[in-house]
Amino acid sequence: MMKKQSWKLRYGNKAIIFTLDAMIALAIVLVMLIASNVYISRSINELNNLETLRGGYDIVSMLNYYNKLQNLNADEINNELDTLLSEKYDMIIQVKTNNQNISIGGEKIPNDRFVGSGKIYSVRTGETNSTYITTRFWIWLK
Amino acid sequence: MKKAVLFTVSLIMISSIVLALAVLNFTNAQRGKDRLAEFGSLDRMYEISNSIAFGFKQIFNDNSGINITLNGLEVTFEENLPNNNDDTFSNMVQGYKNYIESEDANIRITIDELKEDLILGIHPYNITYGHDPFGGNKIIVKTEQINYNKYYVEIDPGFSINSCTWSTSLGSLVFQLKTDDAQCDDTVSIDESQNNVININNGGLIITINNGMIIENNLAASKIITKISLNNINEKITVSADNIINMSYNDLDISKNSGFRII
Repeated sequence: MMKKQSWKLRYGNKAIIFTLDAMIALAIVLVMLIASNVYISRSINELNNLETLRGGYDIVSMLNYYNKLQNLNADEINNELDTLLSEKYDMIIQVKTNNQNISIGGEKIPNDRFVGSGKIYSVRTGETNSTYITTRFWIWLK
Repeated sequence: MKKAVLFTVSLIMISSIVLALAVLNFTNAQRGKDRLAEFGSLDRMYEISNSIAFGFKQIFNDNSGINITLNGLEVTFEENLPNNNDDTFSNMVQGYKNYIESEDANIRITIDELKEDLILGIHPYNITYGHDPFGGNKIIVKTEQINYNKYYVEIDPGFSINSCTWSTSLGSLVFQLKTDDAQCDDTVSIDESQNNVININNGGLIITINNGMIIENNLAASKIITKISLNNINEKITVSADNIINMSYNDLDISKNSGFRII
């Protein structure tokens, strides 16, 4: 006696169920692999972004340690920035005191890519009083 | 029939393994992303904290009137006693504190002890060099254990030395005093657990060594050079003011407490 077929297919049910099962399993696995791949590629991007941010901090820290920020001289800072900044990056540095505001480098902060930003504090000491300085920066890949 | 079952079972097992690996990969990637975000925040915190510390170091070097040098295992502090830079230094650090706290609400600067006694730590020796108070007439060296072998005190007095009496107990710590009066100078081995006193001008300037050292000047301001020779414990020696910068970012659940290093 022949088994009753659920679907009236020429070769019976077994093959289609097996195929469907395999396809569903494959689909799930593929979705997971694609999702994880997307996350991994994003992580790599995040790592690059972290490097960009670190590069920015390295530059303003160097300017701070060599007292370039404290001198509040835009040309001097710009010259140092040309030496320190890698060609693949662009950067804007803003040095602010109570009564001075200097902006160096870059033209406009882009809005179509990652921009690392940060700030540091420094002080210019005098004999009787000091000037307190906040330096902000924005750095991005060209 | 058996072959088909085996084939299906093995296929399911392989698929499960691939699926498990994919899930593992997925969760690892997610965790990695979180860690990177944390690295970024910690980097930012570290750099801000470092810049603040560098500012304090500059204020200290330019306005405290204290010169500190490290030569091998010898740490030397040089300053006038009393140190008349106390008001300037105090105003500078107070101004810097006010500025930083007004710029960033997540940063608290604790300078009460720094302004009051200007205590500096020699690490990792647990030795502190401070004042009572800063601008006052006492330098105080506190020690936790005997990990040093010599005190050298040089006095360039702002007064004439008339008398000099030594009252010491014999021990293994070397103490050397140098002044502009050769009759007062000497090098002795003392027991630092006992009360050792060098009295110049009948209580005008007193050096007391008893589990640490106190230099008290009741006469005119004099330049004091205090040199501490440390035992070699094969670790990097640093001199710093500790627990000054407190940063706390509650939204990121991270905080940092640090000081500023002079050497």
